[in-house]
Amino acid sequence: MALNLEKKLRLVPNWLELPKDVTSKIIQLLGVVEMVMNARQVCPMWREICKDPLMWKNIEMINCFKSPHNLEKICMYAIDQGGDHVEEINIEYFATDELIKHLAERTRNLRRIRISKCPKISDKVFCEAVKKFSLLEEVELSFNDELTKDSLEAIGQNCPHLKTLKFNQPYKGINCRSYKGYKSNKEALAIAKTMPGLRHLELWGNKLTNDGLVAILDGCPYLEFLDIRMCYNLVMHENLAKRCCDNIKKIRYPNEYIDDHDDDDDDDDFAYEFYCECIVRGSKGMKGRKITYVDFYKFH
Amino acid sequence: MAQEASSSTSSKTISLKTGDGEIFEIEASAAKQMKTVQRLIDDLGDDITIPLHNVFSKELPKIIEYYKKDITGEITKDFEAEFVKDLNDDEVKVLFLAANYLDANKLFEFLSQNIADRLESKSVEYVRKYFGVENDFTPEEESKLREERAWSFRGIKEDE
Repeated sequence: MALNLEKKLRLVPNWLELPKDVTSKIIQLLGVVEMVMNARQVCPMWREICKDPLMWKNIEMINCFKSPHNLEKICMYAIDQGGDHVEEINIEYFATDELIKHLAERTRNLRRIRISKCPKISDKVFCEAVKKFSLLEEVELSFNDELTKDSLEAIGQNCPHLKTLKFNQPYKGINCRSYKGYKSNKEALAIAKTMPGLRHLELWGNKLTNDGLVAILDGCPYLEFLDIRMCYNLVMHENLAKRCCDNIKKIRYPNEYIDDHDDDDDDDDFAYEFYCECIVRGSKGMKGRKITYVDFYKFH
Repeated sequence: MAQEASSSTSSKTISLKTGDGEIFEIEASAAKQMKTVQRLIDDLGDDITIPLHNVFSKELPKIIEYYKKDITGEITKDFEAEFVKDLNDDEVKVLFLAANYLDANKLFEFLSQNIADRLESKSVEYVRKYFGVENDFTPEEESKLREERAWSFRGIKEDE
């Protein structure tokens, strides 16, 4: 009672009297899953707000491994709502070939796509779909078991505006015999051949050799950022390291750690840190692998 | 005539008067972050007490606290977590509406996200109560809603 009186005296505005864009903002911050399963059910006004295609410009459904909902259905709905206004899609775990086909049918203006940890997507379907995504600028395809260099080539051939590529693979383990020494430049050559405009490249755990890296440096002359952590087939001898440092603004080297709080701001001393880390790793007896430790000091 | 916003603003304070008649001081550089206040300063000059009819003595100190940290560049995730930790839903609402009125963008963005976080995984009924909204769907619309609720395999988490 007293609260109501106080409210009246203060003339506290009703939520519903707020401009629509303020309410829209909060609804949008709820994220796609909540927007579909919750916000649209609250009241007719909220349902109306959710009909605006711009509310679905960025479709992000990550970290929902334990979600109780039918994520594929929700994602398809979000894609339908956004249509040509969908610019970005970021999904983990649940994507299927059906979903990718749906995305290709309903959208035309995708700029950024991130698909991670989705074992059910096939090369065949992705290669076909990417023909519709000619405006793509940023692509991440990480930890998807079935996607190979074929998908990379398809991206390169169909996306002339591509600036960023992340194609990270699981690190098989230092002592894993099947990994140690197994070399392949398939992805590196696909990138070198088809992505001349690349600025930012991330290839964790890749099996490329020095030949592959050189091919990338030759094929992607505008590269500014290169992250080749856990690419243990690389031997960073002086000339190669110098070539990298001379042309690329920031590099993450094979032996650097990958952790949750990855912070890209520490440019100045990273070479020093890397050098120190090499010494530490060397002393821990990891000399069995073919990495030579170069003093990168001179290049910075 | 309004002073030029240059060398003198660094240590200058502005007086703000709340809707319930109390006066608070803030640094001129903090006032700059609240566009409504800055507009009033531009119109009225920075020597007089700026009236804020829709902001009250309960919430203004908290807002001032936020921007005091902001101008020294000390706003961290920890500070923000601490800032909202003991606020109940009504208090967050009032702060949010005040930030909107004051056009204080950084605080507004932060509180928007905080409200969204508070609503995460809550039931539809909870959200209705929070915003004081009626369930005024027509019966036809209700049946459509029932179809969509079937996209959930299980219920969502209980209201607190």
